[in-house]
Amino acid sequence: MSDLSIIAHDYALNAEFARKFNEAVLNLKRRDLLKRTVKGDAEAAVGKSRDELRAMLDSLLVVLEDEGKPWSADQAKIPADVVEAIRKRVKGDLPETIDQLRRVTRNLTSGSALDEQAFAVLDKVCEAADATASAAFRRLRRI
Amino acid sequence: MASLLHSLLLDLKRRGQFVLKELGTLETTLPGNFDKHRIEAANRIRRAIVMVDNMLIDPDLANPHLEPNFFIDFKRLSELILNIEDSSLLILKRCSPEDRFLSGLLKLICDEVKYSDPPPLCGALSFQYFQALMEMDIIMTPQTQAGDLLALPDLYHELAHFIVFRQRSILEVRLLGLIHKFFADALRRGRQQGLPLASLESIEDNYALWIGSWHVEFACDMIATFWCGPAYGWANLRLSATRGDPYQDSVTHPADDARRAGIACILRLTGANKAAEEIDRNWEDLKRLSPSPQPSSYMKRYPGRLVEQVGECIYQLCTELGFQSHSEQQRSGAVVGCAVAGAWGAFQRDAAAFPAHETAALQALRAKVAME
Repeated sequence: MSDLSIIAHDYALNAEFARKFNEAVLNLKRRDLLKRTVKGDAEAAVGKSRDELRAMLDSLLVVLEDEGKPWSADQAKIPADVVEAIRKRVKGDLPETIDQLRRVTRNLTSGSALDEQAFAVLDKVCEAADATASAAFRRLRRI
Repeated sequence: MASLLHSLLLDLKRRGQFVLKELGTLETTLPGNFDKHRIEAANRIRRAIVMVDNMLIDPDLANPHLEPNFFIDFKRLSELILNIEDSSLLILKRCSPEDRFLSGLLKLICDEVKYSDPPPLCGALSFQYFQALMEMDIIMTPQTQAGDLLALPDLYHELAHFIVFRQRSILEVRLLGLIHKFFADALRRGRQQGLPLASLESIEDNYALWIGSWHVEFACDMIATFWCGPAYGWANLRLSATRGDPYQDSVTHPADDARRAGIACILRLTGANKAAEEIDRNWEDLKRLSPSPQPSSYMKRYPGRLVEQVGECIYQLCTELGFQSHSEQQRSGAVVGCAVAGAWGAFQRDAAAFPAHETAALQALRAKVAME
């Protein structure tokens, strides 16, 4: 009824996406950049992170590439604030960013390790998602 | 020397432990539903502390590749602990008779409407009308809400925020899909007709508002109307009467007049046509008392057909989710549902005599809550 219910809704959506995306990137960085050996539960966690990240990227790409295409259910999976923040962050580099994200998705699908360049573009998404969650939190607390 | 992040994590752990200790001091002092909330809040803090501990002993914490990601994790955990301190701890420490009554009432409402999750906790601590805090499972109400039966329908609206958030995988896909299609068609037609750029941009602006927050507010109004019936329409009229221009909107909320149209759609779909007409007549009277010119772009901002489509979609979802409509609740003698409908009936029959009705109705509700 008040603005705060809507802000709380936005915060919950943005924070959940930021948390999930960041966790998946962190797990994959350990394995692919730091070459940490993973076994048992940790191996399963990395596999889960890879699948989740690929699913989130698939949805994100659909939204970022949207040019008046028919509605897709993927669009509801990515908070609108996050999409706007990514667009603002990459500005004129959007086509290049989309290409890079598409490459990361292909590597995740094939099971190939991700390199520094891949993590650089993933970090841009992490930062944009984090910024939207923090901004919503500040609005929620009026600070 | 420890890194900044290491120090921040130690500070966060200390803050978490402090909130946990405060929650611990309330053990054995709280009634059942409040204690359940306390246990859940304490468990969330414990899980957060474990995550902080894991980061503190992580050999890669200071690795430049990973440190920014750990910092993002730190922020989310910090927000969680602050949210628990600001909302859960606040309500639990107070746990006033009003908070207990409203929480009990909300539990009854949840049973009556067939809300399947555990009922949120309610605190009459808001200084900004009603607020739904989804992540905390809390609804804040105005401080005098425990004594205001006519505003009780707004509690149904806040409960609906939990539905819209938690059922978004079903609800948003359908709702946003139809909103997207509606405006995509309008844009295509506009281009075919050679509309000026400003008109096409205006369609895009309206689309962004609907897709942003307006669909959430429309959906919450409509679910609340499905549950609460004409009483929600009357409560909306009463609230709108205090807010001025019925055509004024904001990024977060559609215009009151458009919300009235959305509520009317659900009333008609649930068979309350007569009440919908009566509310519309009073709405016209309200506009007569406080004349505001309808903006020229108003009908393009709130196309009647789109409001109807959203209404049909929400009605369908309410049915699929197994919710009890207001008329089903009346038939089954739902205590709160009948009390709210009865309060609005009594107010309309004789507003001057209403205080006596309200006192008696609240006494009966308090007795029912106390028995639960």
